[in-house]
This record gives sequence, C-alpha cells and structure tokens, in this order.
Amino acid sequence: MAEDQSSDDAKLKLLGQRVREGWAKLHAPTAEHLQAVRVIVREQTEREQAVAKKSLQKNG
Amino acid sequence: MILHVSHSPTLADLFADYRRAQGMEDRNAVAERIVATIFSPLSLFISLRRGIDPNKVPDVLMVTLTAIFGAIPVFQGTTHSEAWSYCYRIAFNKAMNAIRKDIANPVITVPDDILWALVEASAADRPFALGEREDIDVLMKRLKVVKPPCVDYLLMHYFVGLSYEQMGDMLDMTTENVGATVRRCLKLARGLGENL
Repeated sequence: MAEDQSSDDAKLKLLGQRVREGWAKLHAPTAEHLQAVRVIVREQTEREQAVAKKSLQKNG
Repeated sequence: MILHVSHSPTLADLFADYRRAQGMEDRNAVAERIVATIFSPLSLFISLRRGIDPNKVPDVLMVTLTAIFGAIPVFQGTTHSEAWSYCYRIAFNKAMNAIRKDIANPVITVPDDILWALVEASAADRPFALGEREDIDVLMKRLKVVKPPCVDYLLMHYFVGLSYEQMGDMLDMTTENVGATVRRCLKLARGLGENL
C-alpha cells in the first residue's frame, strides 16, 4: 500500500514536470504584461529619484 | 551593472538585484529576468485555481505582476522559497478576488485535452519513456474523479510544483498538515481510480 502511494507520488511528480515544461513552452510573457511591468518600474524609479532629489536639496 | 557569474541567480537574488539597480535601464533589465522567471509558473498556478474564468487569467496575471513589482522594494525575505511564497501568495489573493466576483458562475478549468496538449508539448524535447503515456492516462482519469478540495491540493503540489511549506504559507496551514492532506488525497485518488 505504501509502495503504491510512493509510486503514485513519483508518477505524479513526473507528470507535473511535463505539465510545467509544456506550459512554459506555450505561455511566454506577453508584450502587454511586460509593458505593465515597465510602467511600474518607471513609476518606482521616478518616485525614488524625486525622494533622493528632495533629500539632497534639504541637506545641502 | 549587476552580474551573477558563478551560478544562476535565485528569485531572491533577482529581487535583491532589482532593489539595488540604479536607473531605469538596469532596473528594467532585472525586471525582465524576474518576469521571465515567474511568468509561466504563476500563470499555471492562476489557471489551475478552481472556479477561475480562463478568460480572466491574463487580467489576474497582470494585477499579480503589478502587485509583485509594487512591493519588491519592501520585500523582507532573503531565501528563494520566501521569494516564491511571496509571489504565490499575491497570485492566490488576486485569483481569489477574481473567483469571488464570478462565484455565481463557476467555470471548470483545465480539461483533459489542454493537459494532454501540455504533456505533448513537453514530449517534443523529452520523448515519453516506455509506458509513460499509459501511466499519464491513468493519472489523469484519477484526477478527474477527485473532488475539491483534494484535487486542488494535488494540482498545487504536483502540477504547479509548490512545496508543502509554500502551500502551508499560502493557505495558513502547517507544513505537516499540508503534507498529511496531500498524502490523504493521493490515497483517495488511488481508491477512486480503482473503481474506474
């Protein structure tokens, strides 16, 4: 019984690996998703630069 | 420029690189590597959430990525596992929000033909071993008859590849409890499969 369970576990792990590999092949990041991330990166960077500039003005 | 030359960076390394990156160009370069790392696992995770409308997966993925990047600057974790747990927790919450809105019209996701398409796609690079296709057929038939929430545990652990610890973190359960539940569900799947 425990042997069956361990064999099921191993087979499901193999199947899972195939599912993930297949999924990665068929689902690459889209241009829209990359663009959304670039927008966040730009906003974050601009915000940080503004804070740094303010702090520089305050201190000197 | 931030480089990792000795080994492939972990997700936690990439998050740290992102925080350290100076200027838009460097930060965008790290961001693209993070997206390349997390996009496929998170989209699979979201697509396998029971009750999610497949048409809404791209939007859920979009808000998930936005939330992840929005919070990387304040992310406190240092390990690969913590970084992944953080991503999956956000994806879980965003998917649950989408499912709640659709609760009156739950959609059954990931039919057999889609799973087979994934398996066949993987076989292009890694041909099936002798008898593997038959094993997969049996496993898929068993998974089909396992009822929620057991099927969710099995899909999250085996298909998405989440560890017991990551599942526990996401579901607010102990690692031991998740492990015991997955083993119980596996046993149940075998029992149900015997009657097929």
